Amino acid sequence: MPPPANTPEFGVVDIAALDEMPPDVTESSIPAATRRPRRRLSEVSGPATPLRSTSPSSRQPSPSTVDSDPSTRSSTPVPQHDAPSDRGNPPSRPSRSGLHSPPIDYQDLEYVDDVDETLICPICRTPFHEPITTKRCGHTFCTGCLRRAVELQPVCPIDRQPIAFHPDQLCNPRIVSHQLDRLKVRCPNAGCAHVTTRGLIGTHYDRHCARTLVPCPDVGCDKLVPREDAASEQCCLHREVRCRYCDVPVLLADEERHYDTECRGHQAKCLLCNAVVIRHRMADHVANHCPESQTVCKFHPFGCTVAGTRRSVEAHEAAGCVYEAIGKLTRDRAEDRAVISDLRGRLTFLEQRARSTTATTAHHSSRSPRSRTGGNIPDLDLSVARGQTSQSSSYLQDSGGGGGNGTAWESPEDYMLAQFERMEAKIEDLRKMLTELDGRHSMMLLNETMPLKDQITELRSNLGVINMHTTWLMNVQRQNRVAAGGGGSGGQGQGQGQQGQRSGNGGSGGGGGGMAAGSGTGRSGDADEGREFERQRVHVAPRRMSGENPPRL
Amino acid sequence: MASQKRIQKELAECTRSPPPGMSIALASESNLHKWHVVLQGPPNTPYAGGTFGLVVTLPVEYPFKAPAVTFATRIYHPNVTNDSQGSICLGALKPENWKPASKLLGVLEAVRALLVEPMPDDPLEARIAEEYKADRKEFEKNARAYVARYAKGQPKFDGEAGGAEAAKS
Repeated sequence: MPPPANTPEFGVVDIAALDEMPPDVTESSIPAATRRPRRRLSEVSGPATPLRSTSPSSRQPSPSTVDSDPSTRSSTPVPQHDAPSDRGNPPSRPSRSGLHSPPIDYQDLEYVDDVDETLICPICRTPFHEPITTKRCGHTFCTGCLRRAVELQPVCPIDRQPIAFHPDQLCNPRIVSHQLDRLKVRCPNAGCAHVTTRGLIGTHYDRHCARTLVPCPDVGCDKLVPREDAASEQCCLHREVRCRYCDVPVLLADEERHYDTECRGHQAKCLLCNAVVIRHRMADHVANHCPESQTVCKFHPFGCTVAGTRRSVEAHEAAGCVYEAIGKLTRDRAEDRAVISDLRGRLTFLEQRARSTTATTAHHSSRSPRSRTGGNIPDLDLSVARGQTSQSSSYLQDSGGGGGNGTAWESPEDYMLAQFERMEAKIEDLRKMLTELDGRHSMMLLNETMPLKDQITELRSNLGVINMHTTWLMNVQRQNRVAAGGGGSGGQGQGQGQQGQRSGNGGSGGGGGGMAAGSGTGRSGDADEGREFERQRVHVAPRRMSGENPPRL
Repeated sequence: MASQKRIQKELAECTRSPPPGMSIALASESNLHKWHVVLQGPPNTPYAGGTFGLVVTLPVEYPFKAPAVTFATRIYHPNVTNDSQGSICLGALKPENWKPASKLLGVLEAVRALLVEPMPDDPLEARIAEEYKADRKEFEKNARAYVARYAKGQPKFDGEAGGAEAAKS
């Protein structure tokens, strides 16, 4: 523990300062309208019962705080309606300063809505109580949780950065406190249904809630009683009295509870029917007997909509509710359904058993005749087994009604054998059909392909003829040209042609360019082209020769 | 009590969405501090097909002190003692490593991850760790043999985990 530091900035961490901080926090978040009554009350009367603290979030009981903080003390009266000022109790009782209402366990509060995950302390997994943030790594915890964690190991419980529980290393995340103060919670007192924000629950608990335990009005008594009882009596409630009605000794503080749960003598009048009943049986009377209480027809679950006072509903039932028959049917049906589901379970069990036995028998019987077919065995086994699964139930039916129609099998083995033979015959049939289908298919394919083949051959021969024609035409053209151009230029053309041949595409491109340039060079270009054709022809010729149909010229 | 509340929340969380292949229950309804976890051996490991019992013991100081997790079923693993104690070497559970903010769900997931991938460099059983590193085949064979011998059927949580069977066979 760090030495108590009274730096206001870090007052949160210091225990004494802890008690000063929250009112400040909460007050800032309380709407002014709700705050005002509290101030007014504080002016009214001196404290009748020394309630521990007024801070909305009650702190751990620390007598030093209560005694050393007069401002807190002055603002701790019991509200006027709870503590009448004419009770004449001494304003302060130093001897009982240690007696307090039990503090609210903030980690046990019940929240009305779901709390955002970010407001949950990673250590106690409840919404933060007195949140505190590490300065170094910025992680937030409940002050109490962090203190305990650091006592055991001086590191951050999330990322293990070294920290000390010292004001210099911690700060108070005010915005988180504000968010927490706005969460809706239920009053922690049993029997109080009050819902308010967490910032105000302390005020409610400490000053208003009738179920909060406060010190007994008697100065000498060291017990706690609910505030509502303390307000109505002015003497110690922890003395035994005789019950007025049944003469049983009870504690005064327990009187109401006694009347409500045990007393056989205390009678009360029913507010509805004016009948006099024992008080603690009143609830039972209203729920089950009172002729004036509201109820519904006993066939309501089956659809009857009649409702009203018990008297009228009973008259309706006596006259005969139409839903009575339906109710009976529904009940019968539920019974039938139970029987059916039971039977179904048994049937499933039997089926499973039958299946397992038939599977084993099938295994045995299929093994002997089939063993010579080697590779086929697993396949066959599988198909046989599948056949059995689907027929095992029919087998059960057969054997069930067997005596009647005379087709009963003597034993499951016989039945399986018969099944097996049938399956074998079926497989044989299938095989035949498959062979037939195969033959038909191949015939069809052959018929289709024959004409196609013929056509292809014809086309190919036609192509050859066209090729021959082209070549012939080209040759004729060239010869004509050579004859017109003469021997000299022909040799030149040949030389150029060879050049063209060597440089491939470039040569023919040059030839084309020459043609475009003018008539002077046109001839050599033509010659070049001719060469190119010849080359192609030579190239093509062997391919043609290898064709089936020799070209016809 | 705050710690009770936290344990209750964690138990609810763990039973609602348990880690894969795990089911969680209290050893006895009245004691929140002892959990029995049934873990199915993760698939594609030598432990597949085995059912292991884990005992999670939460100290009174939980969550400020680390929980203890032990195998109730014997298991052949470099990071689990090969005896009826079944102590686990798990980094997150070491006192100096435990963080109060850690969740039990994460611890259980870490145990499962340990079965998927043992850590032979931080062993409790040096011999098994050696074997795991040097002869993986032999290790897997042994681990499977242990599964077949001890981890079949519903795990027993009576402290003498596997001891009785070991004595018998």
